[in-house]
Amino acid sequence: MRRLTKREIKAWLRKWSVPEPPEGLVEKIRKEIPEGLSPGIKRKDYLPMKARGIRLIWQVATCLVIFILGTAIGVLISQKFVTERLSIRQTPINQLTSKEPVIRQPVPDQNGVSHSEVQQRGLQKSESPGEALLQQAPQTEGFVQASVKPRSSFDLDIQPAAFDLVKDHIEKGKLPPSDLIRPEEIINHFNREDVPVEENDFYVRAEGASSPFTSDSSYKILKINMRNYLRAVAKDASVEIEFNPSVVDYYRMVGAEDREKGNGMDIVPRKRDIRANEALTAIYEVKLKPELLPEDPVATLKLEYSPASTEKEKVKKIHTIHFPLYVLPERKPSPDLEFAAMVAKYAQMLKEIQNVREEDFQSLLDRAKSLVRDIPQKNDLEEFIQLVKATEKLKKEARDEKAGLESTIQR
Amino acid sequence: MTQGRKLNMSEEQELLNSFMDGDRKAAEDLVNRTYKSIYTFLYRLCRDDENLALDLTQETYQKAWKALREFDGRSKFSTWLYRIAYNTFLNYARHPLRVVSIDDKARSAPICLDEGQEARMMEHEMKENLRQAVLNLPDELRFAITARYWGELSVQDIARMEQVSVVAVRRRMRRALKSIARYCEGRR
Repeated sequence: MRRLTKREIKAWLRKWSVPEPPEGLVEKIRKEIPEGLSPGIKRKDYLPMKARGIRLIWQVATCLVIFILGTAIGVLISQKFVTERLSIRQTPINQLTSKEPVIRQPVPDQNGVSHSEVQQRGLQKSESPGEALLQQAPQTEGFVQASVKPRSSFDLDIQPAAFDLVKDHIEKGKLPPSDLIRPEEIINHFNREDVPVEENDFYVRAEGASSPFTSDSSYKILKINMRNYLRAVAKDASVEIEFNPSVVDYYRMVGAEDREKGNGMDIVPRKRDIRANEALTAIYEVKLKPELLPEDPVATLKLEYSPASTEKEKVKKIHTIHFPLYVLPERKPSPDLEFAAMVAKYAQMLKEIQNVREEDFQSLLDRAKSLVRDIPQKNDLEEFIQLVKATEKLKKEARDEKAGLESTIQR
Repeated sequence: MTQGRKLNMSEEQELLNSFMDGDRKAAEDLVNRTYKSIYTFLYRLCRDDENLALDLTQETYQKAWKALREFDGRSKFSTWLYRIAYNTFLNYARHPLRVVSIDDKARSAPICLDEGQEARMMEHEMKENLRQAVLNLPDELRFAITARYWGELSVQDIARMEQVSVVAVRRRMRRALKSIARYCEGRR
């Protein structure tokens, strides 16, 4: 037989016929109705349907309110979380304006740069070395036109080991190969200046003087000092300098050309960590336009870094600091700037050692000795002087060796 | 004797309150209006055993008077009475000797008497299968199906009695019918 459907089962259940109960049943039951129930006992009041309905509505409403509140709190928390996950660029927390003198009037005697040095740099002879430089800029000498490419970044990856190698060569009596010489590292080695304590996270100081590489008064060197005053590492730091095209005609960085590209045109700011209390120095040579005003910034330095985060912090913050560098009334350059200029010149000489003459070394030594009294970093100055003397000696030996070889060949 | 239509909840409440106030007639009225349903319900459960159904009906009311103080009015009185009747039957089913009488005709279950009529035999067999199927149900399903189809209680009354939702009662009934169908199919 087939399986019964629900309807059939219901029908069977309903139609289950039952005879009438016997008549005596109800009498028996009524007889057994007790007499002993205490009168006045009321049954418990049962909640009427209407009240139950109201209670149900109240319960639903309560659940709804809790749900809405919970959703709102969840949205608020998730929004805060999402916001923190994004990189937050804070407004500049340090707005240091360098009030140090940037430019000074050129004093030809103090610079010690002769016309012949310009010639030795392989430039065209001309009455005006500045014009010669102008003709050569930008590709051959690394000068970049500010109106074309105002931004420059210098490499923060200063490796002290490179200078140690150079020094090692000289101390062992050998002139270091040219490709080993990195002028920015020599500059940074000798520019551990004692800077005052600052409340800001970074110290930036800029100073300018006439360029030691040319007698053209429109060429200046710009020394930029930075020090990390954070008590922790400034991670992924990068520096970019944007020159003001209305003030600067051309610029170049002394020593730290872009090694990857080779011409300094497409420099991508490289990032690295700056240790706590670490100082960095960069030197630029700039050619200024003839007409400039004191309120015109020569350049703006932009420093970007991420403070070191704790293990709990999963958010990367980026701090961006802008340091506008202004042209101020000139005054005598500080001993630090003088020293930096000398070091930059020495680095340049070392790189083009074949073109350097004895009197160039002598001139450098004279200038260095003149700073002994004023410069605070006397040990650095002494080390520098010894290095220049050793290099001069090597140059002399190399020249003598070459002369001896030539005379042997002639014989 | 007042018989006839079923009482609604408020009418039952009034009679109960009157009875609790000492009015015996109110109790008699309650009995008159409910005993037939209780008997019918138990009759089907007891395999058409009239005597057994009578005994259990009496026992049901005896228990009801004793437990009247504990009746909280959450459900109708008649519904509450059905629950007592159902439990009374279960007690019997677990301890059948308690209510066996000496000349118990019900012990010889009413099997088909008319041997020549196949339809009656089949009907009887069907009823027996159904009964067994119902008795084999889990307790919550069994009460729901018997109260609904044998006690003629409404789904709302059953829900109130069992303190569950109407949806839950309907769900139980669906499951019960499915089980019954499966059981009957298996018995063939």
